[in-house]
Amino acid sequence: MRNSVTASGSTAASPTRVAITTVAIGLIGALLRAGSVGAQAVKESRAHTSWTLGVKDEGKLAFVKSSGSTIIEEGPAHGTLPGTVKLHFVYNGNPTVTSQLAFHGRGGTIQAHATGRLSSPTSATPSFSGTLTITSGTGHHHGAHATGRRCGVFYRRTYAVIPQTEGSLSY
Amino acid sequence: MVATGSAGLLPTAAAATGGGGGPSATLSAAFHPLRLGAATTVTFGVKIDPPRLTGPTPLNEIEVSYPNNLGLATSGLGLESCDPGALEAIGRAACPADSKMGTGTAVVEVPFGPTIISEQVQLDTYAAPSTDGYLHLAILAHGQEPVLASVILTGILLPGRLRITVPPIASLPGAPNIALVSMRATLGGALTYYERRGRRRVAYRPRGIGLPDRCPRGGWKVAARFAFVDGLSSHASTSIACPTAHSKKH
Repeated sequence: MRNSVTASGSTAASPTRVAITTVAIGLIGALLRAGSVGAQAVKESRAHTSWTLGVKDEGKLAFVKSSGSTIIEEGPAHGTLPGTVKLHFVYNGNPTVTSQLAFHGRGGTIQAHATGRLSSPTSATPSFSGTLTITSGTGHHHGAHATGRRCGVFYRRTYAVIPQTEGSLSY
Repeated sequence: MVATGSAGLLPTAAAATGGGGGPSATLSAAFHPLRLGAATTVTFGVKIDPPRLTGPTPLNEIEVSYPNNLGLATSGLGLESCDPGALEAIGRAACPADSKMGTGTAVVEVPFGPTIISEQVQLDTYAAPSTDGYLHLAILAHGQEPVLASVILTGILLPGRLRITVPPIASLPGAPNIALVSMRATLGGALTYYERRGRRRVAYRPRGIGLPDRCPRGGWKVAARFAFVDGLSSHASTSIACPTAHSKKH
């Protein structure tokens, strides 16, 4: 399974001497977030530091229901931030598809909005590629913001969607 | 064979309007089955009343608009594409089964000297190759008597709109082109698609067009614009009534 974590952090003062320490704290913080432990430590470090967490996740979503041009999908996400994802995927004939995404992990939730361009609409498995923007978060992801690249495949026979997300999550 | 007005397309209301200076036109539309949140087939019927003095005028474009949230693009129809050139030259055999999206019928009027003869035409709708990300259609219109001819109409599925381009269809040398006077086209329905399951090729019926969970107040509004070769146009609209309580999805 794809699973890569990169993390970095920076202090407001950012003297050279503390840079290494900051990166180390950032890495620990990112791992704590990813593993959803040590919430207190994360809170303490958040007071002084902003974080950037490299995220690479893939979901395997199955069709739940549809309403007109909206398809609702749900399934597990694997990678940097494991959890479950619920997706509202809208395809109304415009090659630019949109989706609302709700991620539930052990450390909190993330709401995001994604747009992408669908290629090969007469294929059984058209792919899409675009951007993802986080709109809100709760728990450890409170205040998180990010823009990232989102791509995936839409299986038109089964209505399954396999989305992949890659980007940087900042706190 | 041919639906004119709303016959056979219940529940719907057909409305005729002119506008644009063109001949009077009627549009009808229906979903079958009519259940909120369920897959359905959609049928459009159009009828154009030829002006008495000038006779039928050839069309060059029909644009049908419908609610943006109708699940035409997510229907699972058109999983392969059919080349319009091959479709015209070879016929239905040129197209993969998984490219077929619907069927229909039409009546055209063919001028033969001073008389105008009607011809019934079979329509077969296929997904066509796309280079712009939109879903394109190729509609084979095949008539046998009195004129044996196959013509390809092209279409494009835009958000909330289906635009069909009708090419000039010549009749006899020096005579006016053939004119469409009525058409009934269905997207979805009894289609057979195939998928691979292991080594087996298994037939299945594609799901069809998804209806939204909610019906808008006053029903689903459907409209059509007809553009004629003489520059005139006509408009027509109708609505598909919301399902009654007992037909709603449980």
